[in-house]
Amino acid sequence: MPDVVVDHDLCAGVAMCTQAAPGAFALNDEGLSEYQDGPWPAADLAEAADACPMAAITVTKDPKQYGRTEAGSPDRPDPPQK
Amino acid sequence: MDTGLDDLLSDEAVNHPAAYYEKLRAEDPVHWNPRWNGWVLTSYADVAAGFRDHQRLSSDRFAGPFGQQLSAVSSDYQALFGFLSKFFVWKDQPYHTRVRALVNRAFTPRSVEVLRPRVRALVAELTGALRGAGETDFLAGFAFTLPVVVIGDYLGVPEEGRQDLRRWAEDLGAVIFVSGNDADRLRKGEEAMEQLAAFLRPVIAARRAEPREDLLSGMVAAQERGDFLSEDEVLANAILMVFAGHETTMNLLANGMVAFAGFPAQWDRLRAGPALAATATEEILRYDGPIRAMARWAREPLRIRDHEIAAGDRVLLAQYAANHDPAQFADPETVDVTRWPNRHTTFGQGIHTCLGAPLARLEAQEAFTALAAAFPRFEVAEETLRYNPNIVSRSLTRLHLTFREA
Repeated sequence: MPDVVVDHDLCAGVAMCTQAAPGAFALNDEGLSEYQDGPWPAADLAEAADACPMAAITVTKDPKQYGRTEAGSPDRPDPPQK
Repeated sequence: MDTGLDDLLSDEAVNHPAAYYEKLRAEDPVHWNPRWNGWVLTSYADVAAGFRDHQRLSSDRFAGPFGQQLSAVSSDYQALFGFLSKFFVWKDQPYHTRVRALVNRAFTPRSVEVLRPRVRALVAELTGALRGAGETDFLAGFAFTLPVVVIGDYLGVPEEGRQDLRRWAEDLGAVIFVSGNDADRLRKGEEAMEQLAAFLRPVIAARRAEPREDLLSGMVAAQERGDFLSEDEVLANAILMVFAGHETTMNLLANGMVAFAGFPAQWDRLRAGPALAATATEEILRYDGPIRAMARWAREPLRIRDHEIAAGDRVLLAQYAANHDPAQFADPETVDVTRWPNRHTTFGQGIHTCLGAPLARLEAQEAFTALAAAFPRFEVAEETLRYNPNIVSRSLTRLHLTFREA
């Protein structure tokens, strides 16, 4: 399974992920997105990561294996670094 | 509680918001303001929770207390209210969520990243023009131009007419950002809306006939798929993006320069470390972002601390106050370009979080980095900075700067 991490320093609770990957994400009591144990379609998870306006979702593991088909496209920008 | 702080447009509230909101937050963080006729929330916790509570705190300007106010005049200003009523920001679910999902894809960090080379080139051009220029009008010469060209290109709006956008945006802003019914303001807003619609309508028709790689073409295609309900809906949300795409970013850039002028050591740090562009931009958004406060209204009764908010009550989420709350941010009156985490409320939070946030961030990162690299010093030429008297936006009336290359 891919590892999915939601960075709560970045998440703003926009909830785009809950639409992009139905079931895979849910907002917690603070309104922040939490990954729900899967399995979920890899393409949905990739879509959720892409759709996040805050770039808060990271899907790790080999992207080819998990259906990220946009080979050659630029990586998502890194979150702000301290 | 009578705090003596009920004039949201007082000189102190408009020109010295840190001092004003600090008093209000300390005295009465959930304050009934009889003058504004609503609750004013000034603590970080309450403002953030308010943004996330979209179920109970509505953004719908055409229902509830705001709707009553508008319906009294809306028949006299049909273009204005016809289009405003289709702005998805002013809607609740499900309309908001449907339209947001349609346009979200174009504004994700990955999508806007393709604009970075174009933004960088434009910033270089605008920065070059400041060299040796002496005192310059930063709002007109830089802060307005950058975002309006970027959003204009992205949407696919022709270059001619972009200069008119600033006036239209000002006239629309006077309606959008200010509550109350002032006939002159509404008449100007109606004219601006008609002119914007007349400007964009033929562009939309042209994209329908001959699609290009731009956002308007994408929106037209979405309508043809049945995702947008009508051409007017496309037009309304294109107007929203033209408006939202530059007004706020302009003010972010201007407010940022004023902030850096007050903290020159932070300018030096950014100059030495362009890798700080991202955190520096978040800190400017926190310290003096372009939005001061956003209004909501209660769809149902709710309790905030020991206050009962009744159904139909207006609630003002004071972002500037939240962003300066010492309970959330250490040394809130100090600019620290390395501050992280920095969960400011300037873009809002929850489902209405600013759609354009990734684009605004990109533009500000590029602008601040390039200006810091080019100019070790700059001075604010204004003796006294004045801000437009406005509850929602934090916008300077004028900002002249003098940039120094050594």
